[in-house]
Parts: sequence; C-alpha cells; structure tokens
Amino acid sequence: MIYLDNAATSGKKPKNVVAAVTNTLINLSANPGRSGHKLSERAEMLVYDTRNKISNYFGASGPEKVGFTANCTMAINAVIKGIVSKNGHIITTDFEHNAVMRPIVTNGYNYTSVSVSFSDKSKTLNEIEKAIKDNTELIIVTAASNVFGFVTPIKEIGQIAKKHGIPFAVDGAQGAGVIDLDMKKNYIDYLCVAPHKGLYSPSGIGILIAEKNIKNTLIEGGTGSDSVNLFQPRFMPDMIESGTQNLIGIAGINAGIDFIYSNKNLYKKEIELASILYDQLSRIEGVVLYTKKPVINEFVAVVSFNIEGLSSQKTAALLNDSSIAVRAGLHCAPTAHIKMKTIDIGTVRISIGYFNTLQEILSTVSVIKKIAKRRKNILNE
Amino acid sequence: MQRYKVSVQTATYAMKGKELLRRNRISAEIERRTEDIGKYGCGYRIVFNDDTEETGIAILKRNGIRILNIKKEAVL
Repeated sequence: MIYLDNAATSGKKPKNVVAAVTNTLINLSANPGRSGHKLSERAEMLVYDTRNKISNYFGASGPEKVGFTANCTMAINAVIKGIVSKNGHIITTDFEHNAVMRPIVTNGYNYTSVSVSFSDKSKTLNEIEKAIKDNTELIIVTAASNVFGFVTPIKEIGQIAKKHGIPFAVDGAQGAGVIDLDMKKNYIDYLCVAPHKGLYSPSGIGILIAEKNIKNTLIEGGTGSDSVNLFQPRFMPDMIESGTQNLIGIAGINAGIDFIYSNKNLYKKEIELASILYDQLSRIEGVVLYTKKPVINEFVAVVSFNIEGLSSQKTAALLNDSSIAVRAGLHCAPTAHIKMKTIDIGTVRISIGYFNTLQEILSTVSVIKKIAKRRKNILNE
Repeated sequence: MQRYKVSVQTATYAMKGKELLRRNRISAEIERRTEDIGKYGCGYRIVFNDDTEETGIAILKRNGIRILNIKKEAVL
C-alpha cells in the first residue's frame, strides 16, 4: 500500500519508536511514580525524561509544564474549558479543525472567527487585532490546515496576543515536528500536540504544554500526588493527568523526538515531494487544485484536490482500489471547506510523510491521471 | 553539614529538583516519602547533604519546586 494519509496519523513508525514501545511493554510494565518499587520509579524516570525532551524540543520553560492527555483534542478541550469563563470571548480563525470549533460552539462560548488571508498576512493580523474585545480571554489558532496545508502566522499572532495580554493557544496537530513551534520564540502560552502525527509516535496520547495557569479542570481523579486531598491538584502536569498515563505512548514520544532530531531534513523532504505532486497534478486535465504550490514555511506537506465530476469519496475509493491510502470528505474541518468553497463535495487529501518516496508520488500521479481520463466513463457506471 | 529530606508535591518536581541539584554539583537522590501520608498524601522527597547556608534549598525554591516540608538531620 502507498500510504498518503499522514495527516490522519503517520503511517509508518520509525524502528526506534517500535523498539522503544516494545521494550516498554516487555520490560517496563509498571504504573509510573504511583508505587514505590524500582520498576515504578524507572517508569517515572522515563516519563520525566520524556517531559524534559518535549520541553526542550518545543522551547518550554520546564518539564513540569508538559502534561499528557488522551489525544490532542483533549488537550485543546482542557485549554478552552480550562481558561475561558462563561462570559469570555474567544478569537479563532475561519479554517479550524472541529477539535477547536466544537468545544467553542457546543459550549456556547462567545467567539469571533477571523477570516485568514493567504495572500496578505498583514490583513490577517489586522483582523485578529480588530477582533479583540474587553472580554477576550483566549486566542486559539491552528498551526497549519489539515486540509489545505496553509501555515498560520503563529509568531505574529503570538505577538499581538502578548501585546494585549491575552493567552495564546496553538493547535499543533499538523505542525508539530515540522514547522517551528518554539513556544518562547512564538509567544505561545498553550501548545497542543498530536504526537502520532508529526512526532511519529503511537496514537492514543496527546501533549499539552501550559506555560500559563489553567483555572478549571477537565477531568478529576487519581494523580499519585497530594493524594489525601479530595480536590484535584491545581498545578501542571498533575492537574490534567488523572488516571494512569499511557506509558507506551510516552516511550514512543521519547523515541519519536529522537527520530525528528536525527532527521533535520524531514520538512524539506516532505515539501519537495508535495511540490512535485502539485506540479504533476496541475498538468492533468480534469484535476482541480485549490491552493498555490506548497512551499516551505508557508505550507505543510498536504495537497487537496478533486477530479471534475467525481465525488471526493469516489476518487478516494478508486485510489484505494489501487492500494493508495488517502482521505476524502470534510476531514473534520467543515469551516476550512466553507472558506475554500468545497463544503458540498469535500476534497481528496494527500498528506506526505517522511517515509514516502518520489516513486510513490509518481505512481499515485499515474493512477490519478488514469482516473481523470476515465472520469466520464466512471460517471456512467 | 546536614542531611535534608525535602518533601515535594509530585514525582515530576522530585525529579526536577534532583536534576537541578545535580547540575549545581549537589549529589541528590529521590526516595518515596514514608511519613506524613495522612497530611500530604503519597509522594516523594529529595534527599541530599547541604551546607549551613542551605544552598540546595535555595536552588529548589528559586526554581519553583513545590516544597511541602523540609526535614534535616545532622550528618555524622
């Protein structure tokens, strides 16, 4: 199978990640830090070492700011529900994933969805600054679009947030491990990460790095700390880590970060392939593209397209018949599709990862070409 | 010279405290706290020898380590 659904999860995990996970399962099956025996302490050391690595990688102020959640969506929920009061106002963008939009809308928060201009960054920044109200309590934006690949001007938005004293959160699901999400450099107060994507780690775990306080808890339970107190701890990371941590996932993150460090050309490689893919697709009659060619720092390696006359789901199904894995539809980001006017048909999304090769891209293009050529016949079937 | 047993709030702070002290050339270990369970719940403490100026304690406090209590005993 040619796996081109890396925005959903990285399809191939590096050998060191697999080894770390296996080793943990076999040799370190203990509850980290909760019991007093050596195995529990060794497990806790792994957890602490991983917090340290994450803190260093993302430019956080210390390992104690790093917490583990069930996934990135839970981390985002912890931030939104943890910080914003009932009468508070949130600023976000018009191409967010449902992980950001659903907590905001379902819980009835007052919000402004700022229209992002992909051709004029200053226009976007002006709109964000204009949207600030007296009761704005959070600015939360995605680092990069999971559908169209655009990278948000994180640093500049962070500067605006800092200037106005407003907490700034970033949904790093698509950007982490690829673009620069250094929290200090980019004025990020809360960073939510999906390690199973850009950090090449197992799924079932998320990261929340919180440099500022979180007022409200999301879930409460045993933390192995302050255990005589029936109230949930109010400090990171324990505040957000009720229950047993996903030690296998944590071991995977530890190794995943090592993998990223040892492959510094990762982003460049992915964008080069995305760029070649885009060029090839743009030459096929009947293929519709929605953005300009992906370039480094402006895009992550995600290309969305359609074939005229075919539904995105049909195209994806045909690719699947040729053992090519992509994702079609709305990608849990309806607002992005509304913005790009693809809400009625969705798009076929190709998302490239480190392990994809030029040959795979060219083979995929060849299949798409055949589908596009036959599209009128397919419609009649 | 005194031996200090500094109870901290969480395993994370215990590990961070130990790392901080070691970076400042104070040899430290972590152990499971055996008393005050009813007062503080289960937890860890950082154990190290320190001088009379309490350099190590100052390092921990300066770096935001959440300290629950400090016990000291003379080192023979």
